[in-house]
Amino acid sequence: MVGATLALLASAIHTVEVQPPNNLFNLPSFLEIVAVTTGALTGALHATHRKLDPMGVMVVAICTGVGGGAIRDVLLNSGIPTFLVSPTLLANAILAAAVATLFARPMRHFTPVMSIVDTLVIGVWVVIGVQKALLVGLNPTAAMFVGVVACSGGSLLRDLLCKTKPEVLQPGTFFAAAALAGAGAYIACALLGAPTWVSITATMGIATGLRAASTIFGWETPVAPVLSEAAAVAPST
Amino acid sequence: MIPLAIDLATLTLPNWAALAAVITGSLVGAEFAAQRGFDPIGVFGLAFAQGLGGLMILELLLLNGTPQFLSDPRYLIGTAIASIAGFFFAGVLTRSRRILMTLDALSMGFLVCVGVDAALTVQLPMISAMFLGTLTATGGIVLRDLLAGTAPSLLRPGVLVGMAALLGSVFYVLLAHFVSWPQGIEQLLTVTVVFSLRLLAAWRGWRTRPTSELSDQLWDRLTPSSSSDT
Repeated sequence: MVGATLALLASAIHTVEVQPPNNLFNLPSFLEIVAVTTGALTGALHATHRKLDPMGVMVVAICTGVGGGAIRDVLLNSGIPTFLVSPTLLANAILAAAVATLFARPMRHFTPVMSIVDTLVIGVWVVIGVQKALLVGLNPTAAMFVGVVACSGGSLLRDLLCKTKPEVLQPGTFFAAAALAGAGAYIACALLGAPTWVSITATMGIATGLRAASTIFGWETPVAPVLSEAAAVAPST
Repeated sequence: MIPLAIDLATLTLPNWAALAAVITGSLVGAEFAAQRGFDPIGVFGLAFAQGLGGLMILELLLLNGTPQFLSDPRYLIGTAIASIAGFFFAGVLTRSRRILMTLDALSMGFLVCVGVDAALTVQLPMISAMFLGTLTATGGIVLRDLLAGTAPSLLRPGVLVGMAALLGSVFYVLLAHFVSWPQGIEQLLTVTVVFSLRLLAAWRGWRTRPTSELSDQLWDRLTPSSSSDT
């Protein structure tokens, strides 16, 4: 019964069609460079604190910066990943790694600034991911998925390489959830026939706003109820 | 025994070089897995990861269609034979670790050439070619560690390994861009650079240090001088 309802719902969603954005370059291309550089900087600092060697810091910085975009482009299979075609992205990621290596100590005082920039950048990843997916002609669900993967792939790779628990998958402040909401906003705007710049603004506003709000007000993503009951039971046994 | 037949007409790496590198990587991966108590599938998995991981990531990123290790059966057969050898003769392999390391250093040089050549063939910028060369040569080792559930040793302080691949890639790309020697000579020089860097590092005990240590040292040196200035 539930399965049939879900299947009906899925096929109803499946029939929805979203027009691809008429112009991908509505988003200034320097924003992707900013996004990659920020990711690389946070990745390099993370790696430095985990006692990786210079080579490791550079690898983690590059993977955090360009990883999400690389996974997105490989999934879409629509040409060689952007970070390989244009040298600016890799060069900026390497530069960020060098800066983080040299200034690791003074940069400890700028953690709040870093997290603010990191929050601002989420929307950029989502917009580029969703737009690219729609341009390839994917359905809205897949486009949302690609947007979220593009947003969280870098952080996931960073945690894998540093051997820490993947932060995206852990309960905590909204990250992938904010990205998902942003991607949903883009699709909703596109369905309503809003011009591309409105969709972009809404996406970035919602993704960044949700993450910022969850950081400020201490909102945390919920844990699956079964697990929390088990955790509540565990101490007594 | 395969003869060392460098094609004099085109002067490029012989086409068995990549295969030899894959088999060597698989042997090292299989030995690693066998020493850590993996079952036959685990040994094959880690041998596959270390032998073919780098090439697989390279082909995925370059959208090269069906990966070569699937279309050319020699790669998977080589990996399978290497993992069987690793499973049954892990002790022998561990005792001959020096020979294995030497072969691995040689195959790292081959893989650097394969990665850089692939990137330059599709006319990617220099920095991407350097990145892909390093990735092809080291991706397998990182993938093996991830599958084995250990922290990637390549990225942590220890005997210098990854840096050799990085320097070799940079060297080859610069050579290919600024000097127009026959490709084979450039490749030979690159393999020599990577090989000798790794052997020297193992012999002289060159070790990398944590980045935080280097950074702290720099700032310790800077801080007293700036306070004395003021």
